Amino acid sequence: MPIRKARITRYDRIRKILNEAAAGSSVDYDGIGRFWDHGAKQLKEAFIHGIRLVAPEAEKIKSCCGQDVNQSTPAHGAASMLVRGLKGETPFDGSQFPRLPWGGKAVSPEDIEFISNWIDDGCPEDDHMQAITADIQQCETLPTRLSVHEIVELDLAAKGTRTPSRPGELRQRSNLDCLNEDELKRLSNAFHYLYSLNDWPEDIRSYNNQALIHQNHCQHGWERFLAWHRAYIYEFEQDLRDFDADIMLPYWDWVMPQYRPECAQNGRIIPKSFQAFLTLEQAEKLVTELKPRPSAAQKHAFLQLAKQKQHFTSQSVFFRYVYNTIGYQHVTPQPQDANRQHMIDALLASNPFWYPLRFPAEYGGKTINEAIHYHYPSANDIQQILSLNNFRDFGGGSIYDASFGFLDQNPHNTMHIWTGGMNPYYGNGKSYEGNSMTSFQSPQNDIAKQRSTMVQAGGRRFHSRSDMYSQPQYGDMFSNLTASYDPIFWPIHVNVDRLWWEWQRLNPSATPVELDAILSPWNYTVRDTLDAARFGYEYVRSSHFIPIGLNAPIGRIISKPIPVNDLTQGFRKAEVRLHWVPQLSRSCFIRAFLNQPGANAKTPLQSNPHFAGYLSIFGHGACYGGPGHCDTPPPRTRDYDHRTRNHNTPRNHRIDVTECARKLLATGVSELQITLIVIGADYEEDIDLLKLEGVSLNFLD
Amino acid sequence: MATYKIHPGIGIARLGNSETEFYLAPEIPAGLPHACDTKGNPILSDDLSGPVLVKNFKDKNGRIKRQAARFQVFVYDDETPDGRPLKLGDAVEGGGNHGKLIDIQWRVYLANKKASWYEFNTRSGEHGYADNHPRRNASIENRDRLIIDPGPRIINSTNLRHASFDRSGNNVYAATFPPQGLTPYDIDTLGEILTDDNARLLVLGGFGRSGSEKSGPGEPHISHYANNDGWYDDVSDGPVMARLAMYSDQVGAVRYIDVEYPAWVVVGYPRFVPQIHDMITIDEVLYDLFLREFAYDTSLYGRLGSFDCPETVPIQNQTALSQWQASRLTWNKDFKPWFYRDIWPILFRPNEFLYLSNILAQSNFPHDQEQRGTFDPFKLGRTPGHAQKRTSVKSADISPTARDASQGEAFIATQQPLEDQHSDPYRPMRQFLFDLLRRNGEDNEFKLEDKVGSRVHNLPLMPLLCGDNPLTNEVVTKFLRLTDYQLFILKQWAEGRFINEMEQGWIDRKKYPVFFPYPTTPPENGRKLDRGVLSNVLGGAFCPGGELNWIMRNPSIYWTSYRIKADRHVADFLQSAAQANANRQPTSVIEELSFSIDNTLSHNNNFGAGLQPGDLTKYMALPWQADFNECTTNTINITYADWNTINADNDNDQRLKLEEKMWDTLWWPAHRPLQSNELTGFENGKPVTTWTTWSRGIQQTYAGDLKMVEDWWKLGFIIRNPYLSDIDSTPSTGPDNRYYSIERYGSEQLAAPDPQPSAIINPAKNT
Repeated sequence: MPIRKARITRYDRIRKILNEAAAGSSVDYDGIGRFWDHGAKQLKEAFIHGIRLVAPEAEKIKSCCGQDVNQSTPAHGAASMLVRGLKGETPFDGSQFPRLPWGGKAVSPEDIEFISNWIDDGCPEDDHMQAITADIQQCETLPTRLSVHEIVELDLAAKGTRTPSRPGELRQRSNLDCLNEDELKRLSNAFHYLYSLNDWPEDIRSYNNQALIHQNHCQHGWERFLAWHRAYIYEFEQDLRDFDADIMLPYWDWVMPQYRPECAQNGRIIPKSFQAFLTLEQAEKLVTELKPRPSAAQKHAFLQLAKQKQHFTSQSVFFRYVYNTIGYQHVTPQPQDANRQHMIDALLASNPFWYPLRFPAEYGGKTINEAIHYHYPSANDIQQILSLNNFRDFGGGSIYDASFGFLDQNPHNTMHIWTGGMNPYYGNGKSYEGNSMTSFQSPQNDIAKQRSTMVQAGGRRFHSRSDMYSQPQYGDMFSNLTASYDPIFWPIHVNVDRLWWEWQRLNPSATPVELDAILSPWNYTVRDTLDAARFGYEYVRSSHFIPIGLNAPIGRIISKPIPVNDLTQGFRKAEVRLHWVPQLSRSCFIRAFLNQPGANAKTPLQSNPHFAGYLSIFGHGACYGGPGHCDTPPPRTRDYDHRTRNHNTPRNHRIDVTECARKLLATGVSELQITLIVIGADYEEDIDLLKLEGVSLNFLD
Repeated sequence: MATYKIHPGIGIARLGNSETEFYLAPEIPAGLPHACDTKGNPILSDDLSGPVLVKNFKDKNGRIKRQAARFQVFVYDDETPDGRPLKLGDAVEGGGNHGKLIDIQWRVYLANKKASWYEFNTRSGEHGYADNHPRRNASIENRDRLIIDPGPRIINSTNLRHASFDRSGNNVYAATFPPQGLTPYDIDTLGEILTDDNARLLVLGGFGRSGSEKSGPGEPHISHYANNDGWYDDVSDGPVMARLAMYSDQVGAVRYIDVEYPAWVVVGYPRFVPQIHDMITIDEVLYDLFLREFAYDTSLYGRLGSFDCPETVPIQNQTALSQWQASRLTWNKDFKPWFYRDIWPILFRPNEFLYLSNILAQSNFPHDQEQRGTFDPFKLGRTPGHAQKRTSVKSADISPTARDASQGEAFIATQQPLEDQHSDPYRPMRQFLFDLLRRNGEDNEFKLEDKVGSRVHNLPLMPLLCGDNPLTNEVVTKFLRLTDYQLFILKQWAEGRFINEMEQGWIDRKKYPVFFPYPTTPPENGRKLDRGVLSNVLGGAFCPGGELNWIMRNPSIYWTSYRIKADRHVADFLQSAAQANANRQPTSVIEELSFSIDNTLSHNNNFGAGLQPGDLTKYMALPWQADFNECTTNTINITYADWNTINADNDNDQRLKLEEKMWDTLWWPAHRPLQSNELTGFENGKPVTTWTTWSRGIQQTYAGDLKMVEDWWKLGFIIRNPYLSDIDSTPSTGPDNRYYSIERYGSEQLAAPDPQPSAIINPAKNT
């Protein structure tokens, strides 16, 4: 970078800036005149109306609201009243004083920055400007205009090592794209189990019977929408948990960057876990079933699909790949084509979340915008919807034919249409040859409105083989009669529920009108669904649990560094939770530090950026009873024990570490390490007191 | 992300009996209305430099033109956090869609609930109505018929630009109107709405028609200033909602999004003196209310110790707001008001009333701005220490002319030796004026004669205007008091903590219109538009008042500052915007289909749900002409602070009778003048005027009230004399004709000249 020395000093330049801006004004600034004209030293000391214009260097600068600003940070200029005044910030916003300079014109932001930097450097009298020229590099812009808040979804650490099971503890529905293989496997096993119950048509637990509830009762286009689906998801989740009590339904946050909301047809389209792929086992089986046998090269290619875990968003894409890329051409779109049936069987067996009657993002070669006049939702869209200030506009009104809410109408309907899609091989599809979807039939104009009538539901045997091989015009998600037969219904609707849950926090008193309305086929009323906690769940972006165990007291807890993606900074709240802490005999404080593994009782709290917060626990004192009087009660009371909760029931505690975590992460660290110190009444560490089941770090959206 | 808001938050339309002509409400304090064409488009001056101000308030038939309340949508986004007007063609976003604004749909719902509401009885009801508080028309069982409910109306800016609040219900609503055959006038409409070429909404109110449904000998009759059974008038109020229609290129379709929250329109009677401020405007009442109740500006009024870092209180969060209110709140003692922006407009105002009533002349012009110097802005505005710097001031420069008998107290006070006499010679004058102001708790004091050590012993407290209840013995409030905020800044000023913009050089002494000290530039943003419009509305006394009454002081009726809490089931478009999207509704189709509406407008308040159409004006007098006619002066019994009426006669208590004292007190002359200069002709191109009674021929009796129902539109409009070019810069020194009345019935032919907008541009409130 070439540097050349300028002839004038920075102070000269500042005088020039201010004099130019003040040209034509005769303001005398409380009697001291143009205070910038009398030398740098005087400027540094100048007061007008009792306000010092340049913040003194020696003193610690208090920023707004009492936080000490670290002197090493260059906040000195920005905090100076001269700079605030030139910017027109309080009190120079016209309420108390006009913007500086009085009577002149505003100083440009670049010049203000120049002045601010000069103040940061201590208002030197005689230094010279350095003109720095650097090659301007074309910055790579982000593909989308997402706010950090929306796109952060972190990988979880130490996942699945504990699921809360203590009474009264909320369970956590988390982000589908953050689940690890184990968690996905357990979830898919549960789905698989419900599918298997379809063989008993009268069994209410079967997947088809659960999906039938939606077909027969679902509520859309008015205020029952959110309430009904909250109950529906809960009921289905319970059904899954009958098989595996530890699982919870995840949500698909469809605005994450990998989906490229602004040009979603070029993004991931649907979560990878719901796409088609072959396991090696199924691929090996498949190549033996196909007739005629694939060539050696083709066989190799099939196995490679599995080995590389290649994903396909739909059967159309898969079959075109088989036909055109692998070159195995003994397969046609005909439902009765045996090879096609074998391949669908193999894909279904490989991934229970994949569903053949799903044609996401497929609209006959057009985009969803062109074909349906709906668009894939972006993070900005969701922000707009979350900013609506009344329930009618957000979630729907009480008039059933006039009151779509935005959440229902726009992202919800869109995601149904998006995932359902239009089958390119419907009707006259004869061959998988080529890559274009030529057999597409032009959609009717008001297809989005009429989507409930587009899909045929009557006469079908859902999840039967013949149904899975069929070539319908639209994907099942396209219609609310068939939507929940496709398992992708669940993560979409869990996300809708999450958005309502978030919106409820912003608008705690905004409710539907008819709170007493019943939600058939259950006996919930709308009012019953307002508090999600009643159903025992919360939404967290991610959660990291550190198991400890109740066997022995622990004096100091230091977690392993928990990796935190730098996109996490949009979290609303960060909490350290202490799980299942039995009654303590002595009182104590518990201090939390982040990224200070060496912290101890002497570690300063004031001005320590690593100190995250504390909590205090009152001690129970010595037991005055006989043996067993102060024992920790069992986690659940005995049958017919209707006495009030035992006073020794262990508790959960939480420490809000949001501020500290935010500040540390803002400095660029990528890991957070929790240190908890137990401090006794004597302000020394008490290492023989605290027992707990574990500690967790939770990021809340 | 963008937010869309309607401004003004509360718009003011005014009655008129001209069926065809109207003008636009002034949007600056003490401003003249703006002329517009038949579609409501403002007429610009020939050089397009600004609006043409109204010079004729009546049409060619001598009928009063209606004042339209104009509403527009402002967009608030990162680019303009203070908002800017939204225009057709602008990019808009909302509800998860974005596109180009192609149309705005406006929904307005006006109603009049006066006849079904409670009887007005001074301040009863301000803190909730007692169960036994009588209703108007108590004998009528079918209460619903007492509400004038034309139903809502929707228009857009393209194919349906006009709608009327008439009996038709627009063929989609079962309207309720009073029976036909009222005397003297039937009521067939509450007004109409239209859009101008820039998609702004204009709301026109009624024609000023009032009538009684009673017939027979002696009917119609008026027997009360505020409550008259059988009567209806066509004043109204109600919510204003807007829906933006955008064309989304992204999906090739029209998409809709509603603005953040409804605005409100209030219809008042004509502003006969548009250029003279009331002593307290509703803008000042609300600003004070929002400061104290809604943490509107925590750098002015907030937690003790928080002024260096003023906090932002989320007022929709009741817990946070309650917490703030329960903390130790105080005024920021370091705040320095500006003399010409904040202080002088208050001090300047009372002297203007000498052009509206005899009373000030008969009191020897107590607010004189020059000769005696008590209200001389060049003295009152001098900051402590400023004289010293200039050194030109010799001593306390009190001229001999100041030694006027009636100003003795002021003079004596200024003569008291003070340490800072040289640096702050006018401190005693400031302190004297401040001390004269009625404080909280002194609402019923005429003067502080019985308080030992009183600061202004035996002088009447100011303002010497009627309070909210100078009539009955229940919750007595005899006299008007300035708002807490006004008293606070005046105290700062009295104590020398203020800034003089002229001394600072922020305004030019040669150009600044000291004697018409209001901004003349259009409001730069939505909030200033809110305040500019409200500044022309009466802010007290509320008995019941001019356009609005004490309900405006109740924080429960607001959603946020400057926005009335609306019952959104009534205020909003019945079909949700998302539904219109789902239906692919073309913008040309805007009538509301007959969705189920299960309830009539309510006869009660529900502040939890919000206000309905008619809920602001229902408190006002019925018919409005009765109260308007009678509110000239009130003889206030000042014998005892706690009692407005004493009953010496019943006990034949001679001593009590002897002690009885009265004071004839003005109500609000800028809304209801008593006398005025009246234009009688021109001589040598100069107006010739006569000082006379403004409403002569209509006495302040019930018979006069009835006559006012028929003759209100014959009254003259009082304007600032456009022939005196220097009145903005010269003090008023007694009776002159700087204001005169024009267009009184029978003299409309005396053409009013073009009042030119002042060539002087005042500094905006926030520079």
